[in-house]
Amino acid sequence: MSIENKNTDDIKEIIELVYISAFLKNEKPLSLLLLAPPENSKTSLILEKTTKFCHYSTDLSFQGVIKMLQEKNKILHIVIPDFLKITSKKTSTKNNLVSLLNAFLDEGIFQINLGNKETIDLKGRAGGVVTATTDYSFYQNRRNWKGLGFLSRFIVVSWRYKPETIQEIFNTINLEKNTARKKSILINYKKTEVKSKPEINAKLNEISDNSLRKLKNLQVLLKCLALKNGRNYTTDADIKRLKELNQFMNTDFKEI
Amino acid sequence: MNEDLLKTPVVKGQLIKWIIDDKLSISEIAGKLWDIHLIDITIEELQEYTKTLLLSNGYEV
Repeated sequence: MSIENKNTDDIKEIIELVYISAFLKNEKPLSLLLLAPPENSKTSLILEKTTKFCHYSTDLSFQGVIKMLQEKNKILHIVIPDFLKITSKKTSTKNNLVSLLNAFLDEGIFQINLGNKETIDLKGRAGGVVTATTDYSFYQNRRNWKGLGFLSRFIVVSWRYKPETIQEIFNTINLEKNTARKKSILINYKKTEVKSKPEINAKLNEISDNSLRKLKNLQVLLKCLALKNGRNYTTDADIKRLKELNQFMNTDFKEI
Repeated sequence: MNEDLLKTPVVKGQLIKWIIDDKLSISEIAGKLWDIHLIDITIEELQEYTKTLLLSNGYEV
């Protein structure tokens, strides 16, 4: 379960913006990796909102993802609550899944060559992945994950609860407030082309950590903020807000 | 780094598409393999691998 405070609102907003990226015309949906210790609300934050483009996947298999993409042609975000579901599989299974996700996150999945001249054509299906894992598994596996290729395409967001925050959650549970998970709130927008002027985009350079991929992700997040605020163009207010949100877009595990 | 991914159905499909449909050069394909999958392979190895792949899928080389 999660608590309501300014900092979790910031994390919730980043997740919402990533989901909103599916509504942008001419942009690829963003991908997100949440990092936090166990019982720090990762899953509940991921599941708090959803869109018609999301597919929630707990049992992730190569064949399962292909079948899902064949059957559901609208899906732009694959939501995987536990990133270890991908990486803890045996090598051949993991390789199949990683190559599939690499293609999904990049230029899209086209032909899949199953051997004996048998192919499946997903006609360039592409999208984003929203996932989470613990601080421990991140530190244990980050070198391997970096080597897989697809992690560099993710916006990484990390945090950890302060003891006072954990106490606050304990108190809520002790008060027996209704802590059952609520149904996900459906986000919906019209597919929109959002414009951003070069002089506005340039203001993101200083928070891009000299990473071209991060800069591109920030530019898309900026457009998502504009769309969330009912505009099809970005403003300085969006820059200001994104700079506030950027405090969590790293692996610093800021205490909240 | 990720050479094992070459044997996966997705990468095999991508290679056939890039060669047959998109008519990319072998060096462009090597660049794409690195960008998308972090597969580090020499041009000679890639030429050899794609030749075998195309033949086993009924294409003339």
